[in-house]
Amino acid sequence: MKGARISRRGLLAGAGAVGLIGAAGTSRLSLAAAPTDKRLVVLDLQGGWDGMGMIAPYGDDAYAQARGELALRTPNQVNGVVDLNGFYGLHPAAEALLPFWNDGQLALLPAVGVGTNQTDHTTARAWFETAGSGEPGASGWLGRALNAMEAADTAVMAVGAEGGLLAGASAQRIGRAGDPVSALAAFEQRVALLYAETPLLAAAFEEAVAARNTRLNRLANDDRDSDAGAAILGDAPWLAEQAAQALSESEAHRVAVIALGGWDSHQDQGALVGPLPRRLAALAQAIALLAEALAPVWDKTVILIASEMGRAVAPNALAGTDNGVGGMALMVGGAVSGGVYGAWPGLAPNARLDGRFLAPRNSLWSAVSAILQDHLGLSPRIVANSILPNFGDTQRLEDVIA
Amino acid sequence: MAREYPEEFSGTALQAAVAATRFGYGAAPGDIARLTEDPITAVAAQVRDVDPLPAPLKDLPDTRALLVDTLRARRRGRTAFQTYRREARARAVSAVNAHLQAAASSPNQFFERLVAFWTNHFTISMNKPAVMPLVTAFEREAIRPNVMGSVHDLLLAVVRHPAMLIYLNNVRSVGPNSKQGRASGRGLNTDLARAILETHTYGPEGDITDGDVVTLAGLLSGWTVGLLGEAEEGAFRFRSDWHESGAKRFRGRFVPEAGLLEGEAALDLLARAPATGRRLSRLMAQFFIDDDPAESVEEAIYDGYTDGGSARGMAEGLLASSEAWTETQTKVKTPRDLAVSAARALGRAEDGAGIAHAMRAMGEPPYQATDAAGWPIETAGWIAGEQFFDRLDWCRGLAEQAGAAPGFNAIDCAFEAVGGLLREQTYRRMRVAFSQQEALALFFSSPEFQLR
Repeated sequence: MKGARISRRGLLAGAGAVGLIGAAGTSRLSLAAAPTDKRLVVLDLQGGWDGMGMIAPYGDDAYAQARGELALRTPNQVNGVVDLNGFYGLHPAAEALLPFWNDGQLALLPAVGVGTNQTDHTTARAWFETAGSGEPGASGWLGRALNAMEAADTAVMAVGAEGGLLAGASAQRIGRAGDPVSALAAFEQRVALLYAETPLLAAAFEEAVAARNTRLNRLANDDRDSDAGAAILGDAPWLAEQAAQALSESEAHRVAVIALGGWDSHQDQGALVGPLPRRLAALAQAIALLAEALAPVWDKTVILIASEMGRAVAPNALAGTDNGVGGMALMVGGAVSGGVYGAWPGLAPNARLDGRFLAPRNSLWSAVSAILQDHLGLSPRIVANSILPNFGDTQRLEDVIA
Repeated sequence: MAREYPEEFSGTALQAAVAATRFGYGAAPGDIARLTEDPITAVAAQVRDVDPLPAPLKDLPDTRALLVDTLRARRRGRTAFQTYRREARARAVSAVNAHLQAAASSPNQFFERLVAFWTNHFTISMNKPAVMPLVTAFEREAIRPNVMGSVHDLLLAVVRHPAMLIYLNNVRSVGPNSKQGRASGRGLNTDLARAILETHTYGPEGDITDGDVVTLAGLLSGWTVGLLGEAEEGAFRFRSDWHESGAKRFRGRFVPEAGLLEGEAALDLLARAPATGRRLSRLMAQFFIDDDPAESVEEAIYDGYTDGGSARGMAEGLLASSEAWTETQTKVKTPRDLAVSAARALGRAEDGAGIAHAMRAMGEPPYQATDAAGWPIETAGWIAGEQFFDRLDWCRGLAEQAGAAPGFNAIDCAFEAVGGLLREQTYRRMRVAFSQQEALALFFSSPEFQLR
């Protein structure tokens, strides 16, 4: 789609340019134009999202025991989840998503896997980003999809170092913003200077630094890299608004990827309250903001929320969860037909993978395939041969696109 | 060009900044200038002849309508009831947003913060499903009309309200020696009685015995809610056939058998007890001033209380104490305070949904305390451990977004928001920031904005 008008406003300035938006934590926003009037937003939850912490399968008889101190209460109890369908319940921190469920615009994709049972972030992310094992130079599945749509020559804003899902999309790239993690660290240091004469806040700041260091020092290198500087509370709403502006009716962009770090919850993640619920609230807010700002094109919009892996079923010794396999994905949008898509493998120890992980009973690629074909209009042959060749036999979810 | 830092701020300008920051949620643009002429009088006026229901709350349904809705839905079977619950929750969240909008946008900021204090003191929570649709109606009907009345009227309105009777299970409390109790073997539920004694009035230092709790539960037995088809459908109902029979002895007082009047007499006794006044005065001082407030502030509030057990007197006493006006800020803003003050500073007070999002993200989901004790009055805990970074991160994200607006000037925003409380060192850091966004993020993170 040559000659597409690219926004020159604010942070999006620079037609044809590739810039980095966001950049405070691991979060970033990438945008692409494409020859379609449909809109696709991918919320890439980096680090391994504990989807069960947000959508609780409280109807599974093994749930309460399996999740232990991380189990949420049932809908009829005080401090319980908000019932969705008699089996799944929504964490109240994410209750901003409830109207989408009530309106039939929220699809749950339980127990999804990306194709590998490896639980290190490097491997899992490679599979998630490339829909394959991620050989050196492999392109991202969304980048291939854009190329197949002949979206070449249009701007792909942004990207960071590797490009993630969009890697390989034909686009000019110029420059690269500074290291996002050090940018956040620099901001924190400037804040600390403000507290020099305020002992209460100076002490709180030091305590927060110490708590973070203690937590990070306990992590394996692979996990520590995945955590670095994650800043979803600030980034999620802001990037959502930026994305919605770029995808609105008057602009050329059609696809946005919002990468949000901060999900690698190895320690003290919290059940009803705590760090994970606060992040769930920020995630739900981002989705609500997207819906509000994209209202004029909402019936043409799909938001996919997915992560490279799930987390272990049972809490670990630090009241967090270890990296896992099967996880949760969600689809929200006016173009989504709400409901539950995919069977639930069960949480009883003998139903789990290796006794520890939610079995990846369903394939994330069946949902992606539905988005590519039924939403973006790519042919089954192109999807099977060029975009998801490793999953050419995977049946697409037939009814999830309204 | 950004404003220069002034040589000095006038005394009343500083007092105006304190007034907006401490007795309200924080200044909106123009507020400090308006308060500067006579800050004390201006704040006192915010609780005089106030309409307790600001515009965003006028058309919300009352408890009776909401409860009748629930009771009817319950009759339609399990699936229909589940659907009702989901829809009712979405409606309840909309009502919560309206309440946050009302609190943030009201010109009567001191009144709104008193409402927040008393609503939290008499906590009910959406986290109990049966109460979920009613939490905002409770504030509109029991709290708001009474915060400038007497503690007694406030306590009676709270305890009689169907939402409280349901939340703390008094609707299931049957005197064992009542007609119904003898016939069915049902007994007392002491949850409400215990909360009244240990949370609402005397408090943990009040020498409460289990016997006191059981006696009060007996005095309040039969206080329940009318079911469908009853005359009091969806409203308070006293069932004499559930009420524990016989005379009682409560906290050394003889209470003759008098049905409904027994409970009212007990609440009257509790509301007027000096121990209650002392405790409420301390809590109010902690809520507004400091986790460990000066004794003189408590005394000033208590002096107001002794004028007939007056909630109005307490509020006026708070303003009368000179220590309450110190420009030293030591109280950490709760997520609610921070979210509302940021919305006001940015001229976004109408965005109730945005304030609700922010509160959930910072760990204080609105109207969803986890138990009847409510959110902690002592606020230092809100910045413990890595939660402090989450709060700063939220501030940074809001600043990234708001600071990008064309023509936005962070220093102007800061002077409008905290006036003379803005320290020169913060001002200097903002001047050398790389962007308006960063300058605003530094301001939101600064002590003068994080504290009140």
